[in-house]
Amino acid sequence: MLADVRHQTEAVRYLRRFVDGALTSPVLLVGASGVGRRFSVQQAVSEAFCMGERAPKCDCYSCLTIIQGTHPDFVTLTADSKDIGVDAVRDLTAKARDYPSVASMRCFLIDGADRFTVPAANALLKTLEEPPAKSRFFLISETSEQVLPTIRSRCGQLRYNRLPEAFVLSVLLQYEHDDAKALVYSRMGEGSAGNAIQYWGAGRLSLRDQVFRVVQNALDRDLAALFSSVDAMEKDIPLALKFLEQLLHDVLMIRVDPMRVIHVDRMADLKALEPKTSLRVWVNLANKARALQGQYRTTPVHLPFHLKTIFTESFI
Amino acid sequence: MAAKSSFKPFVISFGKEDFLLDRDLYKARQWVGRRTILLDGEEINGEQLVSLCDGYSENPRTIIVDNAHKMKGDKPFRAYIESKQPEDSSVIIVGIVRSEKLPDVWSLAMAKGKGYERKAFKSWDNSALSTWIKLEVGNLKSSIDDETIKFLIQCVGTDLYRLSNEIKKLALYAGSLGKIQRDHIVLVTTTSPKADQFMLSEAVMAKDARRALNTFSNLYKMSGDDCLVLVVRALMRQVEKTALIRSLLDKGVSETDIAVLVGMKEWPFKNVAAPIARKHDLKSLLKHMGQLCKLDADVKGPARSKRTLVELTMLSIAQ
Repeated sequence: MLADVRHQTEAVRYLRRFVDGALTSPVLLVGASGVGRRFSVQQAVSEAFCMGERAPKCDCYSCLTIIQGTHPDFVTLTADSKDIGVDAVRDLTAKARDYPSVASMRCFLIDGADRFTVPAANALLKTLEEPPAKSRFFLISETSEQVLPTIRSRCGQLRYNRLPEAFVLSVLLQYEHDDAKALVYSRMGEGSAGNAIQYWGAGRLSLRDQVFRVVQNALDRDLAALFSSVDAMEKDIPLALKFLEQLLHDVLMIRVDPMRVIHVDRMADLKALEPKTSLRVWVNLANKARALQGQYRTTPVHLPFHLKTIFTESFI
Repeated sequence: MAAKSSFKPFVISFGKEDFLLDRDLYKARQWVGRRTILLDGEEINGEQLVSLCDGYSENPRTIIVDNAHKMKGDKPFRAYIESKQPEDSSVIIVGIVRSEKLPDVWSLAMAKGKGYERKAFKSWDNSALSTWIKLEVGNLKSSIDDETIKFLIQCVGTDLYRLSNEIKKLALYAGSLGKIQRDHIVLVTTTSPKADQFMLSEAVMAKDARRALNTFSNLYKMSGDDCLVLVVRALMRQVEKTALIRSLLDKGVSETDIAVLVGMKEWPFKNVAAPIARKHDLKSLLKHMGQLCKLDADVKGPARSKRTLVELTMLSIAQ
């Protein structure tokens, strides 16, 4: 139920209108992954379709099948490794024209509104412009800028906030019993419970340590070690870039506000790292890393080479 | 009764160059006046081979064993070799050993007959390849000079099957007793995109702007804008490698150690990679890395006149 959605007051208020039947136009949910965008839609639909008393942990047919992902009137379309193509969209719009099977309406959740191919986006426009009376659309994206303007203009926008650190930590402590580790992972999540859990599940501290090694190799001006350490994490470089940004944030924060350091378990190493070069170089590197992340979102540049270059430009 | 001729009872051809081995096999099949039996070493054993040799027949026979190194059951064949008279050529066994190491039994056969080693040309050893190309062209009653040979290798690559076919085309185009020219290559040959990217990046790093632009032009003619991403990737790889080599050279690491570190064999490293690295200094190479990053984003993004951008960067590196 919507009451289970935490720390997203604005979103809950908006989605409540959908539950009450006051919202019929498509909605674009914008926010970082893992902050509860998908969960909140699921809970809102669950509340709208509930055949019981709309109480938490309801075990009616609708609530159970929505959680299981088998409800015939709650259709989800997700962009995984591929963009969303025109065939998937045509299939979805055909379903939207049909009457709902068991519920009073049919809800469509499209996770990856920024991942439509152009023909797919065009195929969806008409349906979003004038949605069938018994269909509701929820589109999810990390940023609204990446969504095609034609899609964006047809949707109401709903922004999701990052979650408070204390909340992410409390979620993580359900899985991780080492408090220090849980704290690091929760901070690595940067306000996203989903990301924090994902990093914890995949043991991403080892990748973070690899990034640390890359920085040390660059500071040692050891080109061979720098290149091979970057190549070693080739597959994970997009995430490594994010961790690099966090490490650089920590290096810059360690003197100013140590309480805000993300990688608290490497405090001593960070302290040793900071004086090895000037503040200007650290800031410059942090800016470059951020710019590279932004560039990679729009253009599939060859990340290992670019990463090597920003290190060599900064340190060698 | 044994027939007397210039033929030896055993002819062994071994090595890794499939093109030359195939040619030997083809030649053996063309020997006139002999019945030819072609066998695969994978499918027969020594005993079966000997039984084919011993059978009485009036006609002289050539038994060709392809993939001879895979043949099993040496003993009967070894006994056959030992008992064979060196001047008896009624049955000639041609062994095509597609391996650099000659198995003992075929070494024994070679000692009683003739042997040819067909080493694969190293991709970096252009002099051996040049000699071979000259020979091939000469056999077709044409001629070619060294510069044109280099250009031919750049365009076609080092695969002998492709080279042989292209040479035949060129010889026909140049006409009997004619000389193969650079223009003929541009007009007639089908260039190899893979070889082109490699040659192009090598030419850029060797500061041979003319060769680099020519190769790029050929490549662009073949594949249009599609080749740009691949060319930039090849340049990135080459600049990165050169920067690494240069930094190690500056640190005084021995060439042998650097060759191992960058995963190259010593000879091509000393003769190709190291001289190229010495033409650049580390500072300029790192600057080129920055340029290539920008170029990478440009060719994959919506930039206009991408070809010109690539050419500009190539020239800037080759200066």
